[in-house]
Amino acid sequence: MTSAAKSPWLLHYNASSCNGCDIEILAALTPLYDVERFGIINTGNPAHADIFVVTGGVNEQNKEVLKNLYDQIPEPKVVMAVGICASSGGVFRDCYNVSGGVDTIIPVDVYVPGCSVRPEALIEGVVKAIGVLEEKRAKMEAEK
Amino acid sequence: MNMEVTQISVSDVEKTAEEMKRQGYRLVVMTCTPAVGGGFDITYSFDKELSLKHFRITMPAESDIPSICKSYSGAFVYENEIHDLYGFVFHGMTIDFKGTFIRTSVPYPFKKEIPEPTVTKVKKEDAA
Amino acid sequence: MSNRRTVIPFGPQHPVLPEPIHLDLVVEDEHVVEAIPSIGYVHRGLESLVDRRDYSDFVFLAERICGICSFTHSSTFCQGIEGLMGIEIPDRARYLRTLWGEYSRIHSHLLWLGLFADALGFESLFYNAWKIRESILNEMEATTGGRVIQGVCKVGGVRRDISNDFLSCMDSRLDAVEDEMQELVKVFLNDYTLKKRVCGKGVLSAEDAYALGAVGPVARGSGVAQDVRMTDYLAYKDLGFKPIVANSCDGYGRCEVRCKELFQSVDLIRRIITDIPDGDVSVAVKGNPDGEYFSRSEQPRGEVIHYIRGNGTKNLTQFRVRTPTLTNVPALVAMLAGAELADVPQIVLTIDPCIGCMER
Repeated sequence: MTSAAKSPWLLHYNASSCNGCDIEILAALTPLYDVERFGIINTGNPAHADIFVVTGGVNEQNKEVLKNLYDQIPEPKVVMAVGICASSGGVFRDCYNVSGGVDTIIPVDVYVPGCSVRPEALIEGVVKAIGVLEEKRAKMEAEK
Repeated sequence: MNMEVTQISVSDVEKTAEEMKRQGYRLVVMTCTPAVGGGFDITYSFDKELSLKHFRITMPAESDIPSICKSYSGAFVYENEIHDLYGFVFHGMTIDFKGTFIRTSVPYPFKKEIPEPTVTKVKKEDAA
Repeated sequence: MSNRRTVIPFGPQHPVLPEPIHLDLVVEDEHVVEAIPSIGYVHRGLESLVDRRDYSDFVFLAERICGICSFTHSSTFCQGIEGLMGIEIPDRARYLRTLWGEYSRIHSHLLWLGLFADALGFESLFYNAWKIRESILNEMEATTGGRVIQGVCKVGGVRRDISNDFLSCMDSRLDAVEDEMQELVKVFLNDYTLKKRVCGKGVLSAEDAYALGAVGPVARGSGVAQDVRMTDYLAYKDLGFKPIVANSCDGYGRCEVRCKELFQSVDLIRRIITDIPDGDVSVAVKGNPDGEYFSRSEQPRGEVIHYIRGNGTKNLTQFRVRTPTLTNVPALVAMLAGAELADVPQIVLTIDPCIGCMER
């Protein structure tokens, strides 16, 4: 295991979610669920991040922001779609301004279901994401 | 809850806003909705000591409306929103975003005069 | 060197904001001359779905306008439909809605206090606030089944009842929560460093607050006693509500209002638990809404308006929401003018921005 897998940093972006999932992501970081004990830290800087946590079903205005943030995260990186809106558009999929799921804009590695997502599910998602991160890193090493 | 709506003409909008301001009313909201007989209703709601007063103008689509920012400078948020979602043009806003306040995938998404035909999925007796 | 203006973009992705909002800050040296907000990063257009979902289904969508004010959105929407159809909901349902509304106010204010502490770099305080918030969320989950999205309101009443035994247990658990909150609030209102950061920052005079249409704690922190709970909706008439007002007109005032409202909500919940009448929690609903209605209630962030228009079919023809954050934007612009650049994040937070609400 590398240092990145032992201590993955999250970058969180709300791409038109109702913010029910956003507050649950923050709740997962605070004392009761405390993902920081696994070395996970929420960062505000894409250049420091390993795991990109996206909530909400991506609308017209933040498509570009999302792509931009994704490009700024160094390789290897993992994208986590958190909540049903990020996975498929959820209840908002019929709205004119929602593209329907993060995977319509950037590739997604881990989907976490729920409306809103439960902190326990989120922790499991992060653990899965660490696995993917480790795989991606191994692949990068091999290609060197 | 007061639901009485006073119909006014578009030329009276600024005057009414001025009068409301003078009487110490607070602007609560500007609501734009398709009108029953075609065109759109724009309802100005004011509040004083928790009782509401509504004024309404009925306008054809894409027409010009004088802004009430002179009396209520905070009205720019509602006016820009109505511009971006319905396509009305307001004159004299304190901040004019020129259509970039809310960017949407389709221009003026709410600008359909008659609501689409209704689709009823749930049977009447099930809804209770 | 003076009079050189620079435009600094703030957001949409910013460490202090859990949600995206963009501000163009026109600065002269370190002072903000003008702030131009730009929104729409969370605009979904959910109001356009009313013609595809019938009114009883739409309660779920109304609830998902925002994940923090979820309960108040669903109850305001139901209240609007009930007003339109002339439905009188049972007294117990009225009290239960008030109870959950006050619980969600505590959860929202604790959430805000935490985020505010985080914006000031006071991380342990952030964690403490959110630790207390978990016990409120536990009550929510125990009584409704959901932590942040409850789905418990329906047209004609509420879906679940809380047994009187459980209510008295909730009452006793509130004591511990109240003690913890006392400890927390002591820090927010007395800490030297914290006061240095918030006192005199983001000033909004009472006249400006009223003229710009500020609502909720933003208005009350500037000495404007404006609270929809003073009208007779839900059970507030029976409870005899008095709004909390602070007169310092700055960030500290807004913080003080929210801190004191925590205990006010605890008192309201206690009164509800003692006074709650027995009986049914919902009535059968027949027919469809016809006509128009402005439904309004007090969210944690201030007054919310749901405009509802129906034409006698299952589907409403129009639904418009005016949320407190949108009306507080002009007030925010006024607060930011003249502020120091380093204070911008925390001034933005003092209005308790809820972008999901604001843009629907």
